[in-house]
Amino acid sequence: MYQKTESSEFGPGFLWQICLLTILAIGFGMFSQKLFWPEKIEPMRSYTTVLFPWVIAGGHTIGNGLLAFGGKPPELPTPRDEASALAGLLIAVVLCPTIFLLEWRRRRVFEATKHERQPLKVSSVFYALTGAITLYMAAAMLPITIASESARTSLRHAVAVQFNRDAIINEMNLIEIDLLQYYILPKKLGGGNHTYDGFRLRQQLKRTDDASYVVSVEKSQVDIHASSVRFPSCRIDVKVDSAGRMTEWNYGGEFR
Amino acid sequence: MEKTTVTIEIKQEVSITLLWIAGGVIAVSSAFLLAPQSAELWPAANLAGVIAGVYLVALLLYALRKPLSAKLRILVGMVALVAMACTAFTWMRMEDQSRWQAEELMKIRAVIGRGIMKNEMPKPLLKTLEAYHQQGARKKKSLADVFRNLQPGVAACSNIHKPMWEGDPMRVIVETLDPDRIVLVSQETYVKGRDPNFKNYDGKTGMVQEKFILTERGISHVSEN
Repeated sequence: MYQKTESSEFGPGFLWQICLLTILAIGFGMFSQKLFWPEKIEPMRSYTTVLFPWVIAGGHTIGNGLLAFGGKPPELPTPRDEASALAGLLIAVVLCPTIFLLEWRRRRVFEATKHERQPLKVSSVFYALTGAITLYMAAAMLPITIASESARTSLRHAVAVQFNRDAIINEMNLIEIDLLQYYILPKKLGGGNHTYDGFRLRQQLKRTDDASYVVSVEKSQVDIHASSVRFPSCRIDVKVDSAGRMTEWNYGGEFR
Repeated sequence: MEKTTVTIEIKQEVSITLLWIAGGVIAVSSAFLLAPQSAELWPAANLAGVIAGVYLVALLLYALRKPLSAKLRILVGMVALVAMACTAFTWMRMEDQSRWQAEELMKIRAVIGRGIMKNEMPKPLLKTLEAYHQQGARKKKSLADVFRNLQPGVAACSNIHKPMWEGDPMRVIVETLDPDRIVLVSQETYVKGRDPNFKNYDGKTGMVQEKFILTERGISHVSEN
């Protein structure tokens, strides 16, 4: 039933039919985009990860985030991005698995009945190529999943640390304002009358959601010490000199 | 006669393969192209991805049918399912992660904006406070007079921020210029604050806004949104 014959090649025109089908699908995708959105859209970046369309989609979302950061409106996906994503899906999920799995099945069934070694043919090379891509995708997904989860966790932690650091710096700026106005104000208005002596930190600034603060005054110099509440190993130390400038910023723990 | 039958069967196999490919290409491409248009690639990619997943399951069921051994079918099926599950998981996590990163960028922008406001807005007020109290106990000039001396030409509703670079969008507006009370307000024009319904100084809604109030007793800060 599954005997090898002279015409056991995939079939006349098989390769060019597959190629033509792929080109037609991608071409239609690109053409339809130009038809619907004819305005010129500048490409944002080039992608090499064609086999992973979610990376292309994610890159576009982050690109729009960067545009929003600069106050610009989001851009529509470029035809190039769309063609890349669609091509990736078609190659990784349709073309390669279909050719590989159906040919693999044919060979398994054929080998069960015939034990002759098949000569190397174009179809064998094609089968090997689609097999390599399919198996690569299948084998790579578990490590990719683990690696991306690890990267995601560490990125979120790094961003949380950075936000905490920025929030503490902002609150230290408010402490500096309190210090400077204390320095300026006369004693009858609760100030230091050109000295920092006697300065006391406001209750709201002693401990916030982000950090607890200690201000120590010695002669004409003030030390502000901030200990992170969210990340207890992290701290910031800064000096305020007699001219009211914050100097000698010192970061500890993960703030470094 | 036998050779003719085999040739026909192989041609049938080729036709079936081509049919699978054509069906997959048409289904996935249609889903991708017919998805709702959006500024993001996700709607099209997700819809096409779901169709591609259904296609792969159907293909596996077809390819792993008898007469292949049950052991082989289970093994290949399990490997394929694990790979597909990992792909779906990574795909969804990437969507979530990219959206999160885009949102974080705006949060970072808000932190930067607030930081610049908190750094720049108190400076003219502290100078005013210092000059005001340097007059001694008997003050001839009000806070507003001192502020006007230091900021020539200033009036209520005017911007006192000198651009730090070309295209610097920051504005520090004198909201109130009373003899004993000066209020400075600054806002972002496109960075969202905490309350989306907050009415901003310039009429926009929901943007970051910071306020500093100067009286003779000192400066107070209000993070309005």
